Amino acid sequence: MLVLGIESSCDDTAAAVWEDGTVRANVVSSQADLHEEYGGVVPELASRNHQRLIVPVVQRALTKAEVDVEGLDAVAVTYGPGLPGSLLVGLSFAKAFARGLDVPLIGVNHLEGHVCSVDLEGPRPGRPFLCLVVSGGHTELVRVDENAQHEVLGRTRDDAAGEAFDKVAQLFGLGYPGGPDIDRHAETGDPAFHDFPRSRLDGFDFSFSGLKTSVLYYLRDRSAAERKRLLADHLDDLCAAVQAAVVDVLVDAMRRAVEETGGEHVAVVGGVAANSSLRRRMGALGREAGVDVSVPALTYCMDNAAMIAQAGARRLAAGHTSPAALDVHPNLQL
Amino acid sequence: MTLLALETATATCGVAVLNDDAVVAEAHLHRPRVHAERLTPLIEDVLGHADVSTEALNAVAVSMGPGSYTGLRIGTSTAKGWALSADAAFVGVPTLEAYAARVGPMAAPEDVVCALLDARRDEVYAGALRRTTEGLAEHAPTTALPVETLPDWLGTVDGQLWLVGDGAPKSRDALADDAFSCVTLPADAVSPSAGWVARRGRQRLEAHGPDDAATAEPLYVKDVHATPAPSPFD
Amino acid sequence: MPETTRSTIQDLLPQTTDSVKATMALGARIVNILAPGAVLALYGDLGSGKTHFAKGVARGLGLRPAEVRSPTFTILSVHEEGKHPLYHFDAYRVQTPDEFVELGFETYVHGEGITCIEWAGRVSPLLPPDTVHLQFHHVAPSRRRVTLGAPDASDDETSQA
Repeated sequence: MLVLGIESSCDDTAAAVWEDGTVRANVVSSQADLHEEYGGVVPELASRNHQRLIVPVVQRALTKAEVDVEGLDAVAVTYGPGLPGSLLVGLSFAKAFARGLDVPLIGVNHLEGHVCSVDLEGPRPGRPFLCLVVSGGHTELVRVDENAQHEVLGRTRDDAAGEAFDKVAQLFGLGYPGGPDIDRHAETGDPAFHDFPRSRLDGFDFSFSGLKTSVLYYLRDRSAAERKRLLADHLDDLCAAVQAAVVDVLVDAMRRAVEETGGEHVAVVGGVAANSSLRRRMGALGREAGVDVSVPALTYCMDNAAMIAQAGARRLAAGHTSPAALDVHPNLQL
Repeated sequence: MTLLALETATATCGVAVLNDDAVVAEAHLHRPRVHAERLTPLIEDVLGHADVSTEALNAVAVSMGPGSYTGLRIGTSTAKGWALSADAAFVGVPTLEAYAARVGPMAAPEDVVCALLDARRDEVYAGALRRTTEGLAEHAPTTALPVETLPDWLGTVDGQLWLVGDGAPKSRDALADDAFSCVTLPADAVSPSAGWVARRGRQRLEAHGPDDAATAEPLYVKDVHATPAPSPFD
Repeated sequence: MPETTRSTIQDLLPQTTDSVKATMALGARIVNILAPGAVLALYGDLGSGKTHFAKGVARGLGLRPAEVRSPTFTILSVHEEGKHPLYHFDAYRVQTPDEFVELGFETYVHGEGITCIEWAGRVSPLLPPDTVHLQFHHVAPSRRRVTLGAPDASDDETSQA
């Protein structure tokens, strides 16, 4: 089965060609540079860029995969969650493209796509598995069973983990997205430099807004000159301390979930799964707790369309297709 | 030629099919915020009623704006999807050109048809065509402007001035001058029309050839002047 | 909005809250004296309590506060399971008021629900005349002061280019 995947939920325009479990082409055109100067995604700019990129990105994926459009069996596309204008470009294009080729359209939940990203490469995690979905827009802990049904154990009550990195990076005067910059600086920093709060809620819910506020207070209680000196002398230490606070909370939740559910397989997916400290610490948790840990290759942690095609193919195999009236669902949940 | 045309720039969601020289089927919904859901099913219906298969399509024309950004996103990406999958030519038609052209047959030579869409606050999107003995010619270029500057933008109108569109009522006072003899057409009776996008699309194809679907972008008219998110330290 | 409702809000504000819980409680109390169609414009820095106040509004409407997060990325989230619908807008990433209008802002504010707008200064031209303006100020790490009235144009967030 040959599936074209399309993803445009935030600031990356992506298309992929997937054939029976193999990714034949995976094209992502990132707009991060464009949004960096504004400290985050500007929705209207993102939508306009998707419009500019959608056809070239799809064409590049088809060319790279050496596939003729007539050979496609289905079109899978993200219909939520995400920015409404961004989602609309990908979904409207995909609906028309699928109808024009007279092949099934499969609407895919972006978060389900991330969950499926662990199946794209390498050994597929055993079922059931505990999956932490962490990105700029989401932080969810779910249990995924043999039939790919998701049970949400917990999710963030305020900011996502990646959003916390973005906002703290903005306070530190770093770029957007914040995660990669913080990760890079943290490598040579001392995580014990300052003890930022780790909020632990009942159950498996998360909260990161307190961390952001705490960093804000830590900095604004100083004069501008003092703040400047502190950031110049200890940026690496501060990044390490913030990163430790975020990673501790995520690893702790996963550890408790393993203990409580007796799970044997765990996975971490989404943009924040690219964080080197989180990958290391999850690996260590796996060794301590005796569980398998799956983390996708960096390419598949970021938003991509291969995971959308993968999730779509599974849905199609289970007999699901979407109607031509499918609309975007900006606040879709798992 | 068999051409599919889409009009989604306003609260109207319209689809038309032109076969040879005639619009053979068209359907319009006049409801805001249903375009994302209804456009593709409407296209399938209209193609079906026109007895046109996807393989038979030679071209896809779409109303490119100005108008609702959401509507333009839906229309343009839908048109690109059909053009690419059906291997059909893509042609963008300025929204106000197609809209003004709808009134063209009622106008006499030297009359000017001005299509006006409400662009919020005191602004309108405006475009104007002049009836000539041969057909229609651009009289004033598409723009977004405050209503009080409409007379300057319009310049001299020798014949009658026809106003159409949901921006016409708020523009009337600015044009209630001896210089203009105005007729206002109610926007609900004379709404943007996919059939006229089809006719103008065919003309544009014949005159200039197709546009490139890979690079085509809606005519937003207004740029995004992005400002950084607020500073946390002030 | 009837004069009586307005004076009741004035009885509640200004108020200083000593915890997240107290900020949420204030939101829940205020929403209970508002009629459907009311618009709450929230102003204040990052972490000044706007979202917790909105969570309180949600609770006042019978919604689960945990389900309410500031829609920084999606700009609008609609919660319809409560006593009245809650239309929760976040203008932090919005560049022009037009983006709000595209999402149907004008139909929501004149509708059946309660509209809550975080970073409202970025869309001030769209706010209806009967909008309830609330400013959130940091006082201490867990203390916030909530006052009635829009900020001066001079410290309007939109003017900080």
